[in-house]
Amino acid sequence: MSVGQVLLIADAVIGLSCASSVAVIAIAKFGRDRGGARSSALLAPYRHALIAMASGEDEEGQARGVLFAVSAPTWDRLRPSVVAFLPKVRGAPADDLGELLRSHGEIEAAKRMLISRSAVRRARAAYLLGLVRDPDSAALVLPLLGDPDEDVRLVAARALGAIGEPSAARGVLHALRTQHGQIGLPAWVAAEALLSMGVQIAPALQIGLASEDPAVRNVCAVVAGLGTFASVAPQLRILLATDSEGDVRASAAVALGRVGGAEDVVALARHTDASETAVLRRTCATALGDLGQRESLDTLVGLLGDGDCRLAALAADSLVRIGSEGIARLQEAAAATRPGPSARAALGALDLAGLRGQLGVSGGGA
Amino acid sequence: MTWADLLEGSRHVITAIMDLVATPVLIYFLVINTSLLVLIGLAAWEFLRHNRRTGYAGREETLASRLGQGVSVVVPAYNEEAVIVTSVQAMLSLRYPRHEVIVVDDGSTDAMFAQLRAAFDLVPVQREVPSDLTTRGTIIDVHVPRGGRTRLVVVRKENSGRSDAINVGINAAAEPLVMFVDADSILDPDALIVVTKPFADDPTRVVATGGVIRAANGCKVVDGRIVEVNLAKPWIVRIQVVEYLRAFLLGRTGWSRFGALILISGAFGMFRRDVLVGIGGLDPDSIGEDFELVMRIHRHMIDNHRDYRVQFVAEPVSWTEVPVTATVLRSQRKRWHRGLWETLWKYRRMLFNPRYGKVGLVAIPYYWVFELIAPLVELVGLVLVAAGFALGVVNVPYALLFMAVAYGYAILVTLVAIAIDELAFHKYTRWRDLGAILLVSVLENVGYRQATAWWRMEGWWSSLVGKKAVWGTMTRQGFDDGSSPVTAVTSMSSDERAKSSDE
Amino acid sequence: MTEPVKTRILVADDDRDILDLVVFKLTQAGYEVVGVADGSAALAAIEADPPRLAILDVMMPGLSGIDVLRKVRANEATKDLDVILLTARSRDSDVDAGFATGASDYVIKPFSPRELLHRVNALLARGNG
Repeated sequence: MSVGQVLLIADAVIGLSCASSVAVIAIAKFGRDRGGARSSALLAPYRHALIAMASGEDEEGQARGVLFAVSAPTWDRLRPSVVAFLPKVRGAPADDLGELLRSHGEIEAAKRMLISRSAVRRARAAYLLGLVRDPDSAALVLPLLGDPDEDVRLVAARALGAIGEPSAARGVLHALRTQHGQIGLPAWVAAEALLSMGVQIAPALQIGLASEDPAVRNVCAVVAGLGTFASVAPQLRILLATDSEGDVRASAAVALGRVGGAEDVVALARHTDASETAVLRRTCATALGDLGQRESLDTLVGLLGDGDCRLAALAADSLVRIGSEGIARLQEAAAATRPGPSARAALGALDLAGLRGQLGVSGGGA
Repeated sequence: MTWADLLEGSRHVITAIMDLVATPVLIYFLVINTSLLVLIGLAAWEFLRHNRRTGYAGREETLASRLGQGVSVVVPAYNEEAVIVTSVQAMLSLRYPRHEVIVVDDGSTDAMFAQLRAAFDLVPVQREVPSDLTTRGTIIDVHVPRGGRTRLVVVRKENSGRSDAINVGINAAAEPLVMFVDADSILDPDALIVVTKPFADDPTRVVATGGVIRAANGCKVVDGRIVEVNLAKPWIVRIQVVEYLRAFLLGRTGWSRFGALILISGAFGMFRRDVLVGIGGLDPDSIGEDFELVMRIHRHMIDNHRDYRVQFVAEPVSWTEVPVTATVLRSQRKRWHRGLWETLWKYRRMLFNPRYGKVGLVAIPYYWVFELIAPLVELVGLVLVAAGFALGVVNVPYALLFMAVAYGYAILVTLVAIAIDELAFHKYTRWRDLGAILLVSVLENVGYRQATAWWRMEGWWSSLVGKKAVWGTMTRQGFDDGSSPVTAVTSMSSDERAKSSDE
Repeated sequence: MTEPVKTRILVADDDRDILDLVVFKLTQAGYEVVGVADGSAALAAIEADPPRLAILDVMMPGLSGIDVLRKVRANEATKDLDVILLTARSRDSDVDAGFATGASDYVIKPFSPRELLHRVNALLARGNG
């Protein structure tokens, strides 16, 4: 092939591609402009009924009657609007919308779509079942936690959390595990789902805290603290002391600060020791403040003079949060005859506490 | 030697050179534009999934999530009296459950601090700033608003430059995630939610994230918020808008998806505080300091066998005023390319080093070949073709082929980028704006591209001959990755200051 | 006989569904309701012709509900306006922040339309009493 011919071909290819790109852009915009207007015009009469129902103003059931009776093709176009309203309201209107969907066979259809070959359909189906909080679907949605598509797993986890099925906890934790170098579920989705399932997930949490995957251990530690699962405190103590991942140890410390009791002071205090990383020492100092136990006072006062001034400041803040006893110890330290780092840290905290109006409050600030 | 002999001699030389480099140059442009298409393809896939997902993984739910980690927004500021109060107020009211704003006053000589003190009723506190990172400027004092509830901290220190100011901010930061923003950047109200999402998704793995930066020129700003997005009128700005689109939306997203994102942005990046401390913070002596930071993060994490991820979120987070005059643009591009060169050279050990995985074997070589050398190749090609025409030796089919591949293909890539952006985000509601953007894809290649190529070479050259880049007290920097540039740089006045200092 | 003047309420939400829903609900309850889709429009409407009560969504592009609230409270003419914030945030510290900015009440999404109406009635009654 001569250069001339190559040139011709190259130019033709590029020219055609450019033209088609421009065409695609123009068509997409045109289609969007038109499509939006057309579909809202078609649905206008039903929208009024939908809003009446969604706002709970359908006392006589007029709107309900209209919407329950729409024909199948109209319902097809109306469905997205109904689904869009559902997560925005709660109470009787939400129940009514759910019933509307059910009356048009959407729930049954969704259950069937859970095993569709299209990932988008599976996800939409699981989403809908979660929205209406259909308890019978939990068992059907559960296997989707192992779906190859990450969006499907995400939606399944959220749906199970919305339904509030505690037996799904193990499945959610299992789905969380790292796959292809990435976490299996967004951590926050898993955590929120678990927290919606109630205290019965404690056994699943205990298993999760011992998982090989640090991502799973971390989520379990966080959930334990946010959901106040006091029963797993012993395991949290073990994680704090021995976990290989700094993040997990820190999460365990934070959780202990929230769910622990006087017996956890020792564990947290131990890890404020100078042999630990700065991050862990600081986290533990803060956690001691969260615990709010007077047994921590000595440790915290001891940290006021630490070389790490952030640690000292956090310890001082914790003392403020513990209450009047902590504040008294701070004032002692501040009034020390030889002004040194301890006095400075104490003064700093008292200064801030004063600004916030936390001094003189017997129950402590926070 | 007669004039004719000289001419004849030149013809021989040019012909010889052309024979030598003709095909390589063609192949170079073929490859570079194809690689951009690949990156765009990766990005397009990502958008498709993202758009599908917005139905079920809503933003509002992320906001309500209790797993969100706190963020410290570090604002290095020098003589920003004009914008600082509005800017800080806007940052304090970003939508996020838990964040603080740390303003580091880098020895300002104007009324910036006085304004802050008046607006927020600042009082001094006896709080030492930790020294997790070694910093140079001496800290003068620390102020917080009276009432101690508004989460603002103002640290005053002696002047020592932006990077050092940021390091002081990192030290003062109390939250586990740290973000650096310039005082005159305008943030999207959801910026924190958007760029913390990867951290919320995978908290033990993600170490740094970035988002999309858009040009603020022409937009209506009210109290530090963009309330109306308009396409600016000057073509020089419109061209930059398209550059940003290619670079951010497609370049960064594509690399992030591939798993080898080595450049986030100087104007906007979020990092784990402990990682920043672990690597020693920003390097105050580096010119491309944001690029340098991310490279150092990669090197550190890989050297320490840590499982980590640097991620880009393809959503707008920040707005910045892009240069409006050629002078300021020149200064910016010179600086960016210089920073690119110096950082790539500093980390040359990672080049083709299998130890550094995709970063060392793919991303870094790519930046060397297609970002660093790109302006050189382009100018050489152009000069050859022009000289060839002048001397009458040019192979016309070759010349036209060169044009088609170097410029035509580039136009195609830009059109595809615009198409994907339009399909995924439908930003331009007016046909007029969309039309202007499409026109830019052609206009860009008539003068702008060549000019920026020359300026980049200038920047590279000034580094090679060891010209000292004299920093004024405070300079803003951004980062250029060659043909898909962009990042940072903000007000013109600082660029002008910078321009006069490294001339 | 003159008709009683209807109490005017302004509602701002960029979500069309919620906007239409709240406007409808309050109109049915006998109020005169103005609906706008963004913060700038809300602020302009409040400043031009102050309503008795404003319901503002927190998450709006451009000026958020909190931005609008702040400006309303800073303006002498409108500083006593009753404002209800609509938001998805549910953490206590965020509710406190909302109140700290000067909100009169706070409704969390997903919300019960009936409850919203109760709160509106209660706020207005308090103002009158």
